[in-house]
Amino acid sequence: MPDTSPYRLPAAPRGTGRRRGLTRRTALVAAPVLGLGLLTACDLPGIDDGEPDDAGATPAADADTEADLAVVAEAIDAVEPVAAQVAAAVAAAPDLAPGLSGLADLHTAHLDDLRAADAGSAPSSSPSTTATGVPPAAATDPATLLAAVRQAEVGLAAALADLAVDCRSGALARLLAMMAAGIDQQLAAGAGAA
Amino acid sequence: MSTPLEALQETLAAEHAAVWLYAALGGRVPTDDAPELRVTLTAAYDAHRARRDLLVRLVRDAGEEPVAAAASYVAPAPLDTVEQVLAAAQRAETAAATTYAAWVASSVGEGRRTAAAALRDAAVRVVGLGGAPATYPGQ
Repeated sequence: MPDTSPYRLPAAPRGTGRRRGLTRRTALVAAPVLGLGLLTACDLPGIDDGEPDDAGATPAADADTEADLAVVAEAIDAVEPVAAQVAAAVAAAPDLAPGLSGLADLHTAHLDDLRAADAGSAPSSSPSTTATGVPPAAATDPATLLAAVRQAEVGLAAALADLAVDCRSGALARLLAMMAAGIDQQLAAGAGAA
Repeated sequence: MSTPLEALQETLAAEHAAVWLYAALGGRVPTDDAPELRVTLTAAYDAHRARRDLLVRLVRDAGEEPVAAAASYVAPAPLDTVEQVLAAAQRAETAAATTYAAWVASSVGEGRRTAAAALRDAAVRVVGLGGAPATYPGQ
C-alpha cells in the first residue's frame, strides 16, 4: 500500500556528490554546490566528468555554460553590495548587530558558494566586505539604516529570483531561488525590522 | 531530475496532500484557544488550495490529466495540543518548500518564476509557523 502521508511530499532531486578528476570548467560551476548536492556536472550542458573539456561538448552547450557562469557573476555583483550595506549599518550602529547577524551570516554563506563557482573567472569589481572593508553608511540613525537595509534585501531577493528564471541550469536556478527564499525568511523573522 | 510535466504533477500531488493536511489541522485548533494559529492555518490552506488549482490548470494546459488527490491520507500524530499542530504545519511547509525547489529546477520561463514564488512563499510561512530561517530553504 503506498504511503499516503501528507509528509511524504516529493523530495527534490539530489546531486551526486563530490567527484574525482574535475576539469576546470566542471569546477567552475559545480564547486559551490558539491557540498549542497545541488549542481553537478551532469546538470549543466557542456560539463563533463573528467574528460577533456571539448570532448562531446557542443557550441550550444558551451554557450549555456558560459551564460550560467555570467549569471553566477551577476548574482555575486548583486549580493556583495547588500552584504556591505549590512556590515556598514552594523558599523555605524553596533546595537543593530544582533538583529542583522542572521542576514550577515546568510550573505557570507551565499557569497562563499557563489565565489567558489566563480573561481577562475575575472575578479568582481564590486565592493566586497572581505576585500575592501566596510564602506561607511550614509546615515547613522538606526531606524533609517534598518529601513535602507530592509529595502535593499527585498530588492536583492527579487533580483536573485529573476536570475533564477534567467539561467539555463535547473540546479543553478534552484540554488538562486533558495537564496532568495533565505532572505525572505530572515526578513520574515524580523531581521531589518525597526 | 523530473521532466517539467512530471515536476508539475509531483507538485500537484503534494498540494493535494497539503490542502488535506491544513483542513485536518484547522479542525484540531479551537478558535477560542489559538485564534492567531487558526488564522495562520486558514491562510495556509487558502494558499495551497489556490496553488493546487493553478497546478491543475497548468497540467491541463500541457495536455495531461492532472493527478488526483489520494483516496485518503494519514494524519500525523499526535495532534492533541496547539504546539503539536504547529509543529505538524511547520514540517508540512518545509516539505512543500523542498517540493517547490524541485519544481524550480525542472521548469523554465514563467513556470520557473511561479515555482520560485511558491518556494519563497512556503519559506516565509515556515518562519510564520515558528520555524527557524535556513541558509537554503527548500534544500
